[in-house]
Amino acid sequence: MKKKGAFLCIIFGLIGLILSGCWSRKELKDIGVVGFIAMDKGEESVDVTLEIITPKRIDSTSEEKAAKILECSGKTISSAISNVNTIYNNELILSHANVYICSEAIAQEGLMNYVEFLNRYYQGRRYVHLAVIKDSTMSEVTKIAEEMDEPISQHIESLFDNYTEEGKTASVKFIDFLQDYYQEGIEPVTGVIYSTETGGSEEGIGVEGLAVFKDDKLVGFLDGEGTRSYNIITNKLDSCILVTTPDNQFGQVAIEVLDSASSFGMQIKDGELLMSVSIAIKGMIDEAMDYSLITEDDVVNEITENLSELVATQVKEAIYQAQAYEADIFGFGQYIHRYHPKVWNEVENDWDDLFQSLNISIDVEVDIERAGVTNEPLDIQGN
Amino acid sequence: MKRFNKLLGKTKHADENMLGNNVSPMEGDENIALSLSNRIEKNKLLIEKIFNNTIDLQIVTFDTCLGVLGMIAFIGDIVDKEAIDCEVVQPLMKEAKTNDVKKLLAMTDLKESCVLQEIVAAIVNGSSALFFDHEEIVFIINKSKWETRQVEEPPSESVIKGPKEGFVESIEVNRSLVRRKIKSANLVFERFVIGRETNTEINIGYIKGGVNEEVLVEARERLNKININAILDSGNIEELIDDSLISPIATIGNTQKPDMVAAKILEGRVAIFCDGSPHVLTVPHVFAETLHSPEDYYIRPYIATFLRLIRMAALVVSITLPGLYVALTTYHQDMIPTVLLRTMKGASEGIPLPAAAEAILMTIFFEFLKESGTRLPKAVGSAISIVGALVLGEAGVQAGIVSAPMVLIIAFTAVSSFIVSALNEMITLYRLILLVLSGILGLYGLTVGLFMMTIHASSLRSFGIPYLSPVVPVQVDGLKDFVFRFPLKEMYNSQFFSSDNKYKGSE
Repeated sequence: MKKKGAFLCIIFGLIGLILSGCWSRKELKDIGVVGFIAMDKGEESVDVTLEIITPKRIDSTSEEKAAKILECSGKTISSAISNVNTIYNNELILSHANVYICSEAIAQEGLMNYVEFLNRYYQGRRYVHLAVIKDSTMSEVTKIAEEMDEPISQHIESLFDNYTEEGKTASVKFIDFLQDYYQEGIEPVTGVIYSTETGGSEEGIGVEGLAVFKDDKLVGFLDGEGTRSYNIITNKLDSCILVTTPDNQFGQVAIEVLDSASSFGMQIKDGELLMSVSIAIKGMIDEAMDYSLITEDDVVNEITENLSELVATQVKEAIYQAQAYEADIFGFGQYIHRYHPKVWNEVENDWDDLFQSLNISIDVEVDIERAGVTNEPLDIQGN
Repeated sequence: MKRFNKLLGKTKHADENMLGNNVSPMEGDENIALSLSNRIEKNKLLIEKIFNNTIDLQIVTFDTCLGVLGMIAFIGDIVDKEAIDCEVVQPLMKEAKTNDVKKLLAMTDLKESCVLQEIVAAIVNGSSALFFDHEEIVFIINKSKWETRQVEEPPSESVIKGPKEGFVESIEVNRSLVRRKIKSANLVFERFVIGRETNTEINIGYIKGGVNEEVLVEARERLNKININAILDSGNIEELIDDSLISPIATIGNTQKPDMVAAKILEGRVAIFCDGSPHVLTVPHVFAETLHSPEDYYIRPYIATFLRLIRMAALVVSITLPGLYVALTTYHQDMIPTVLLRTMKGASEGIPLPAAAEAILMTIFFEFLKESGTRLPKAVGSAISIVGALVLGEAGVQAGIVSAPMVLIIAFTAVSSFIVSALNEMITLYRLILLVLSGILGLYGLTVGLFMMTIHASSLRSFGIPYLSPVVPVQVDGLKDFVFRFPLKEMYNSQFFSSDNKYKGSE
């Protein structure tokens, strides 16, 4: 009896194994790893450009490029991607894509329709950089991709990750975009990609700036400084270098931001909504180009005042720009929604108009904690 | 009485077997009675018949000072003839004042008997039987001389710190090695004789009062139940008293180190010695022990803990790594970092076999290599390892038959499989099972396989003790010596398996 039971177990086990038989098995040599998925609008169709990362052979001597660019089009994103297999023999793996790229045209039309596939399909990932191409065409960017020594998707990803340190771009993932899109009182942003021509034939990719969306439609861009201000206001700044020129007696001073914290506040005065942003920046002097003694208190105070003014001006400018786009990318509405829900109920319906003319006061506090490893500046010999 | 019989080396089975076997060739010969007589010529014929005139049986007749004929019978190759000459024959032939044989011989290892099978058993065990004419009582003199190996360090269980001595093939020496560690009247050995033809001496050793009585009773019972022709090694015993023969997991421990056996006996376990085997078995044997090394208790506790964690990791790696690699590369490419995937894809380009087949091939190649390494003479063995390393590693990759990452994976697996050497046989089998499962079903198969293996392990019992104890069921005192090795002062796990423990061995 026991033997019969064991025998049956083995038989059924084998049947289970054989019937399922290596379902969805993909050998490494039969797959094509997709680096980025770029979407553009064609005539009555969607154009999709894929970067296929070529395998790295340790012993190879051939001058093989890091990636292959495939273009295809279809009525939808998924049909376009499946059309790739008419010209490419390996099965595509989309889950390794590092960046989803959209052209300006589809961003202006409304992004949600295009990223729906990437949100739904099981190989789509939400922790992937989302970027809009600015001032360049899709083909310009993909042309660069074909000439690079490393897969451009990895290049772009590391650019995003490292450039965030400078504060001039934001590392916006697909999931951040979706969150900001669905949440009340905040508008989404995405990163920006453009091709740079640094003289001669040398071309590269730049990621400075930010694309501003209203709902899911692109309404404009912020430049590098605007983006940095965006990062300061939304508390996303890790560190950056701020250069300030204190009044006449000193030269340029570069301050490295060690820590930046911001908080919102709201007040209702005479029936008018007043928002305030307080920013606290801790910094360290990296470079002082004049031969002044920065050990002296009044010098440091001078630098501090100057820097807070500079930050306040830049932040104000960024807010003006967003107000001009009518897109509350900083989440002032979200703040009211979260902390003053009663107020939000009243202003919810005409928040867009209200934001446009919102009175926002900026308060910047700078604290210079360190002055590097030397107190005295370098002196020219003989002076 | 029963115990007394045991001490004399006569278990019930042994008696029956011995007689039945030895008497059968004489069936045709009706002239000789099957019992001892008081005539020396008849006894001589009887002994010769019983031993089928084997050439190594020596029977010497001589005149004694007692005035009667004396006869001594023994198997020449296993008896110290010099001692027989000096201590038995010479005193008996010289003129003497006394007629008492015991006083004449003056030795401690002297027994009297008039039972035929007892005498025969003594002769095959290396004793000499001394007959006198007109006398029914036979004297049994134990002056055996067996060839035995020197006590040396067991090569398969070498340690850096701690005792280096190892068991040998002689059961007397093995017993003495353990007795040297535990000088206590509570250390008890019991004798069994198993094997119809081999009459192998089996001993069990335990601490009276400290041992788990249920385990002890179970061990005695299982040994008594054995009914087999031959026992050549403790491995035979292991197989015959195993809880579950079909399971690849051993539920009986074995070691060649006396300090390890002493420690296990002191923990309340039962040790089973087998004459002719340098491996001593210990029961019950649980999973926790496979991760332990005797050295753990001779070094600092936290270092021992770290080493145990390493062994644990090595166990997991050696079982799952090839399966995991195959599952990831053929089903779950999205779980591999992109940069690594790019290199791995480059390496696997142009390999004709699917990854699963490649892994199975390499694993079996490695088993070939291991087997030939252990079986071949040492001189050839080193050549094999060079050829294996070069051919399977370098040339296999160069020829495009296997990919370089696969060689790395198999090599890493092979190295880690030797770390937990107690589970070596089980690891090889489980690795292959998981490899096939993950080749067919991916990570799902790997998980299912691991689940089934864990369920199987938790269903096992070793002499009534659950195999995964002290983890399942949880035993806080036992956990102090599982992965963590608590300082000796903190542990009183020496009582872990004993019967006065709260934990009951059975259901």
